[in-house]
Amino acid sequence: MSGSLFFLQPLLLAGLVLLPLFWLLLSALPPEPVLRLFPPIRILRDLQDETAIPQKIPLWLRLLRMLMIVLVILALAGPIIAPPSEQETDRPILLVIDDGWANAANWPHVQQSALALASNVDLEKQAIAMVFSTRITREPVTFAPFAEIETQINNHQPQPFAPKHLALSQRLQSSLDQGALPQDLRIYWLSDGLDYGGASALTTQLAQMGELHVLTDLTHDPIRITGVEPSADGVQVRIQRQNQDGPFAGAILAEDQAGQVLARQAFSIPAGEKTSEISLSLPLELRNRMGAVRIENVRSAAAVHLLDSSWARPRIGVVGGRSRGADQPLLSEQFYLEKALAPFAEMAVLDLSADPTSTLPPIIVLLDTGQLSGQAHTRLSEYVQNGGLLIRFAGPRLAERQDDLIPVPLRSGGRLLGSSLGWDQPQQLASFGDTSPFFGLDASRPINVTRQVLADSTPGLASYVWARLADGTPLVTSAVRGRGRIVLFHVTASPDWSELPLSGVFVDMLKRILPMAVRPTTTTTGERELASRVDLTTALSATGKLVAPDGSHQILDLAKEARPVDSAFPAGLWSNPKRSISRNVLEHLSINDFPDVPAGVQVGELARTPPVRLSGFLIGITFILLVLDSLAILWLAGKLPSIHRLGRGAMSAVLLVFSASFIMSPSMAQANELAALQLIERTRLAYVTTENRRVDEMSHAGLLGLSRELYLRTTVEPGAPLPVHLETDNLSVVSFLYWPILNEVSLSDHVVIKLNAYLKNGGMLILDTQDAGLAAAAAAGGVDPALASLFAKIDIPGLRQIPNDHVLTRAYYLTQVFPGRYANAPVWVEADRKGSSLDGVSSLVIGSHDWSAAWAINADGKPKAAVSDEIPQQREMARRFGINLVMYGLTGNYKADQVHIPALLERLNR
Amino acid sequence: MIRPRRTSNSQDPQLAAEQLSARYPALLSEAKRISANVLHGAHGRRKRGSGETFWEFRQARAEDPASAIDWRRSARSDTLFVRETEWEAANTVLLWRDASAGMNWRSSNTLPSKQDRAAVLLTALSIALLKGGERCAVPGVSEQPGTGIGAQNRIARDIITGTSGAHSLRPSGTRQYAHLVIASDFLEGVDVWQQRLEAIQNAGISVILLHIADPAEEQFPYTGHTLFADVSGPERIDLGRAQSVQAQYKKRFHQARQDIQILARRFGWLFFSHRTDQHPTKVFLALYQGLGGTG
Repeated sequence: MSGSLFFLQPLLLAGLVLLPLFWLLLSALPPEPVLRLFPPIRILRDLQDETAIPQKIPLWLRLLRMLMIVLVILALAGPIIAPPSEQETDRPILLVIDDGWANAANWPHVQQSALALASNVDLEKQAIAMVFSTRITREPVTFAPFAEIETQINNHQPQPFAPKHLALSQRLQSSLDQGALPQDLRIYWLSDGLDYGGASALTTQLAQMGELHVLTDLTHDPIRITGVEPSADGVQVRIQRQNQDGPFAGAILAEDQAGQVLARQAFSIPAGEKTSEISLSLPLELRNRMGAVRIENVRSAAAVHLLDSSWARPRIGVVGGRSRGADQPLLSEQFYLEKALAPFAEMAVLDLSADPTSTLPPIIVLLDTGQLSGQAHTRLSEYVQNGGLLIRFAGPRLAERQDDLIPVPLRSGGRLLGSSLGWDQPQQLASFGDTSPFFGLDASRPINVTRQVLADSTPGLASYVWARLADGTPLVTSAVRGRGRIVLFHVTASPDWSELPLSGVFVDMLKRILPMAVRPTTTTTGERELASRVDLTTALSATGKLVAPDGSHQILDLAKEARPVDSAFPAGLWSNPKRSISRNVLEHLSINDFPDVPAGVQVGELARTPPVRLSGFLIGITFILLVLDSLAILWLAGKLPSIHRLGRGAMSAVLLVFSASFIMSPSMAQANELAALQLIERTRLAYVTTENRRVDEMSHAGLLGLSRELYLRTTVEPGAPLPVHLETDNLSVVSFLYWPILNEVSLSDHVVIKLNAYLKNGGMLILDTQDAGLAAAAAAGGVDPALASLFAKIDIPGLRQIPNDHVLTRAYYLTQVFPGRYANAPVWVEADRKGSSLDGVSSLVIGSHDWSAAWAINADGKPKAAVSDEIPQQREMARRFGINLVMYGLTGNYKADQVHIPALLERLNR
Repeated sequence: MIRPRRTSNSQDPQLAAEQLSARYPALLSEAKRISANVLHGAHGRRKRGSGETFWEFRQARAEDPASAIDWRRSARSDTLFVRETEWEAANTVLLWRDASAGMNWRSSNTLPSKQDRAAVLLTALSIALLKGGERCAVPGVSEQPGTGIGAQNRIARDIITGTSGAHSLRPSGTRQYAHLVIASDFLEGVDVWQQRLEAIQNAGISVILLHIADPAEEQFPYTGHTLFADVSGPERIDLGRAQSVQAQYKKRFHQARQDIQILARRFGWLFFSHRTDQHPTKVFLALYQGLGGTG
């Protein structure tokens, strides 16, 4: 290859004139000796060292340094070797580059080709101009210096929308008219090979302006997703490609909004075909979570199809049904609804009387609430009239008193089947009729209905009925009200009246009803206006990545005419608090094959060899010379002992670099080991640190107080209390761990593993909610929420309150009370005294007495916190219990053996 | 030319004394620690001899004169006993530490200076000796020997903070039949030291020479172009490749030390050498035993 060499900054070469000056400067710098004080200097006095002291830089080193200076000057001047060009021409050059989505995947290639074309220009004779086809401005296209063109090409990123060929041809025409561009140009159009409607216009325009070369990348095929439709069991994805010569094999990915892959479907397009439809089957739950469909491994904005909130889980508001739930949650209607609907919908309790202006969800479930207040009733009526879906469940209250929010009139009182006083048997569900939306669901398994509300037999009743009992009485009825719909289940949502809520059919029926919800339209025009204005929240990059918007977009008003996808309204997710919509690259866009070019236009392929910049290469050589120079200085100063040792040094240096990362971790492990050794030097009581500094201080003071009491009264002589951070600290050096657990905790997996290992290996864990059991008493089920969140994660065996004969009651002191700051809440230990590997020793003590407060001392050794004085001598008793705890933690069931002492004594006496 | 940064010790004796005093507590406690180690092991004067304090009864042997037999004790049993008394002759031990500028030097911050190490060793020795009932003095600083534990602090302070020069080693300043311990780096050359020591030898004093060296003085670990500067004088020696003279230097250094050792042997004195990176206890034991053996 014979290219031409030229410099970007030829003026800098003038720096070479300064070389003689550098030569003089370099000769004036002898190396400096190291100065050392040395008492036995007398011994050195007349010793001769054989090496002469260098006073001047040797010639070869000076030449080396001169070479470095020359190289730096050359590198700064920016030498470039351009690839050879086929045709020599003196015409000015115009580059037209398609930088839309279709060229995103092979953008580096386009950049290189453009650089190759630009660098081929004889800079002295030819001018060069460049224009990107997505960026349309009013300014005329002008010529620019090569360095600027090169920077622009290197820095420009492809855009996630289509090129605007029509607008570009107008801009070029106006540039011509204004005289910014001459008539006789050589034009290279780096095209993406697609026609967005303006290709032929631009071709004609460019052909008028001079000699046109249309260059495309034949190896690149802009494959894209043209549409995504929901189907019966998933989604249907339409794919289109441009190049139909060979077969194409790839895969479709369904992703959620965070970019996690939900499903993958491989597909292939046979040779000769351009489009393909791929069906991706997905369970409903996954389909609801879908945020985008993507062609795997294609880096293009059109290979991604964003899906908006119309795909997401519907929101369901539940009205009523709470009053009974508090004491018997498993019998409440809401429980069964949640079990049935939670996988498919977001459920929330709705208070109709709370905020009359709030937007109602698309679906409302009305449980058996009895009389609705007037306001709520009006609101619900309006809601249904405006398109809401109201699902009602019957119940004793509805049976007594009905309102008009029901699809069919009901007889009051309801009907009791199969009771002790009734004649008739419990009825079963009949199979669904073909007009029912439930048609096809499997109702063959018997479902008994013991009570229902009966529809008044009116003419045309049958058309409202979706499901019947075996005797023909309606079980589910539905009617349209305004734009909305009311669906009534004639039984309760709980199993009081029927087995329906317990059956799988119930879930399937609800699933069929949910899609009937129409998005309720907002009522006032102001709101509608507000709701139609959306802002870009997530943008789509040209390579198909989801990125944060850069802020150059405008607010999109959906009420106005459709806007094309461009830089002002780019592709991505647009949303406002009420809704979100997706805009995809190919929306409102028709793509055709590239039209036939007029005669005289040359069609070619993108060149592959970019120009070579030599600056980096020269700088690299300079650095190598710099290293050589440093070595030479060392050698001259006598610091390099010998070539042999130098080789070894270099080897070890290389080894050092390569093994640096490996060395790091062992040395850290060693440090950890040392720390651990220090920790186990003395027994130390440990506590878990929380986010609350005051709690941590109290824990510390408490364990300090307990440590002091232990020191004074027993042979246990603990060190200072040890704060333990569960995420980072090593639990294996701890044997007694006090954990004030005030709030719900969320433990990471490795913390759970650590805690379980700690408990399993005989560590003692004291859990203290520090609230005298108040939270537990308030919580449903009597379980403290903080503890519940912990127990969900770690292995907890059965628990029971400390029995009278437990070792804790006599590990050191004989005591039957376990007080801290409070005294009267229960204290729990593991129930299993035999089965565990720990020989019946409980590794858990759980209570709410705020022990640390009772043990805590301040710097003077005085108690730090008051105790509640619920029992006599409470602080002393708390200390005694603390000592028992530590003894129990350290000695296990040692004291339990004392139960045998009477027997042993008796045997000795005998 | 860059002037070597020097420790102010060689310039101003007043300041040097103050600096030494500042280190006095630390050095004293180290000396006490070292001497305590030894006191548990050897018991010095605790042996029979001519004194007044009762030491022990032992069975009479054939060579004992009848006048030596303690009849009161012997009457209480069938055998004859001799009453022995503790040996209580006290010696005077003079402790002299070289205070020349070269002694206040160390090759690395992890090591003590030769001067500190010498002070520690001599102080430890004085503590042990005073406890053993000997008398100690520091020539040139406190000529009056101190006895007993009460003198311990004074002697220690004199050893550690004393800055007396080589002139205090003159024979008139030392006493006959005394022992003298000289701790120095002996870097002034064997000729100078031969002159000084001959004068002492003529006075009939038994001497222990303690040669203290820094490891860098012994090993000469310097490489490359180095300018060596004297600690006190203006002398400079410029070496292009310091490592090239290492072998020669080591040979000469050993020779110099050997010369001192030969000198000591010729006078019938003991010679110990110590390097500041070694633990002081070993050489201290040797010194102490050496004093006990000669005394």
